[in-house]
Amino acid sequence: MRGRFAARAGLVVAALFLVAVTLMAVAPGLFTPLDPLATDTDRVLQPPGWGHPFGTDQTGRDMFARVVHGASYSLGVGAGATAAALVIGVVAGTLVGLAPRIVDGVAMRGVEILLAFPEFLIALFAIAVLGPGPVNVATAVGVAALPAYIRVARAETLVVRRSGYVEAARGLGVHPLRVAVSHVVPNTLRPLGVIATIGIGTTIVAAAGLSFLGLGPQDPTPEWGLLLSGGRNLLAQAWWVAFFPGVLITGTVVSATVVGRRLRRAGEGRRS
Amino acid sequence: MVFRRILARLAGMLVVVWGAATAAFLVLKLVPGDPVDVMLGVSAQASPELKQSIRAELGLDQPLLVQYVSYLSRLVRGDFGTSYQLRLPVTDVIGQQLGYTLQLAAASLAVALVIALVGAVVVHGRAARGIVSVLELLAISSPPFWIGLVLLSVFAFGLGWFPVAGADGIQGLLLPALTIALPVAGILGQVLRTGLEDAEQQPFATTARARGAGPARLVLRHTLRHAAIPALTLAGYIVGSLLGGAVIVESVFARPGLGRVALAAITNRDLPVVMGIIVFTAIVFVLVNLVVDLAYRAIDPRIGAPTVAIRGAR
Repeated sequence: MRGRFAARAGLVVAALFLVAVTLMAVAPGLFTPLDPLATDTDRVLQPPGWGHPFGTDQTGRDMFARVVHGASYSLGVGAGATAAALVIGVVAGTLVGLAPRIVDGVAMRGVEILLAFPEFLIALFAIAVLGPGPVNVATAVGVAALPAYIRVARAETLVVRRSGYVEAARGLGVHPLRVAVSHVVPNTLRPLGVIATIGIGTTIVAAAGLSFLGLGPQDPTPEWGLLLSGGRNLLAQAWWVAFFPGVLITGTVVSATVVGRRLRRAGEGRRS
Repeated sequence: MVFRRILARLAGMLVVVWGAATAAFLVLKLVPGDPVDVMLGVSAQASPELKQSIRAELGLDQPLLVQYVSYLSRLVRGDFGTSYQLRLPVTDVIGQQLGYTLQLAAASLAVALVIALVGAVVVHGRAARGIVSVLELLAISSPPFWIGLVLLSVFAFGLGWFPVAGADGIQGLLLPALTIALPVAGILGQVLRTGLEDAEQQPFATTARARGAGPARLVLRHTLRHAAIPALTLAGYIVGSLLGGAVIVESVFARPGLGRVALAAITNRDLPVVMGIIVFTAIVFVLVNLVVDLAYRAIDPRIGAPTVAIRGAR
């Protein structure tokens, strides 16, 4: 009983955190009136306090404003890359699921190999090929996320394809393409939504990791991974510069995972 | 029979490495930008004639197929080409830095195994296991570069227990290894714990208990072996985390190693080094998979020999 209460409280906190971070991305002005790019040489490396809850960096920029404004970039890349991977994954996975067995076998062999690697490593290889840059970071993490969606979309397609209503539609002489679009795809979407929720978190970490390595946007862009790498050289004098952006990244990922797992359990409950 | 199986296995391994080499070659050929410009550096003012002679020297003016064949034949002879930036053979560049990264990866794996085993085997009771699973979630979700910075800030800058940078001795190894190990331990711990809990429900566990096996003997002799199988399946993922983690951690802790080489090659578009690292990674994964397969057989005697007898000889 107590465990269930703790789990529910955790879920509420996670959902609230996601709402807050989304608001930061959409309307940063609600959280801080300060400009994330405005320097102030009188207030350099201030520790966290009333005026600056997250302190200031080496040029006197307010860290809270930088973290809040950074949400739009990090979340934008996370959500954008995940959405793109989801759409491409559904199309590719459905096609593979409906394709002849040879095509299916070869494609799935490749997907299985890619799935054996952590997303970050695949994103790193993609960047190695594409070259550094903010747009390429988004592309790379999207590519890294793709195999998981292809696999699930294909597996769901195989299940739905053999189900009674698809058989019925085919028997009624509905065009195969129409069967795919109006019957197969909608039924693959729910399980994919669950992975996508968790996937946004993984994608944000991978993108922040690439930015941290200096392969993405460049200073003064307030991006979470970049803020952390700026804080690396200030650790001796100012721990807060590297600390708070990391709290936001970790909080977002944990929250996405908690909410995603809850959605998965809800989906499983409905199925059985 | 056995000989033929080994031969098929080796052929499969070669195909994977060949595939990686071909993919690396093709994709990097499609990348825009002139390798000669990369070699000379952005600021260099070279005459078109000089560029043309360099291109001819590298064979870049040949048809794509000719380049591919000569690339493959050089690979077979162990020649990975010459770094544009360092003007050294790629094998030397990788070889010089490999030791540091191997050390880091081995230490990280050891730390991760210890943490995961303690979390999965030693911790008992519902409440304690609940707390451990929350800690695992946190460890999996925290970006490794942030874990590294927090560890540095607390233990190196704050308490002064460890050096801030470099790769000297055990002291310089512990924090970087811990950084890579924590997320790996989180995933490994989850899988081990689920496996142990499953195994405890199985009839063989009841039998062992009925024959008087205590909790320690039950875990060590019976259920851990059972839980190790799903954990082994993660081997590829874990090695990937060790390599990807090395890129980040070597940068956070200012350590030398393959990760630094890879990062510099990516940033500077040093294509021969990038290709060399891709092929090298493919070789590592093929070898890891071989070791994992052998380990499966050692852990689970059901895998291997009997299947032939059961299915009937061909």
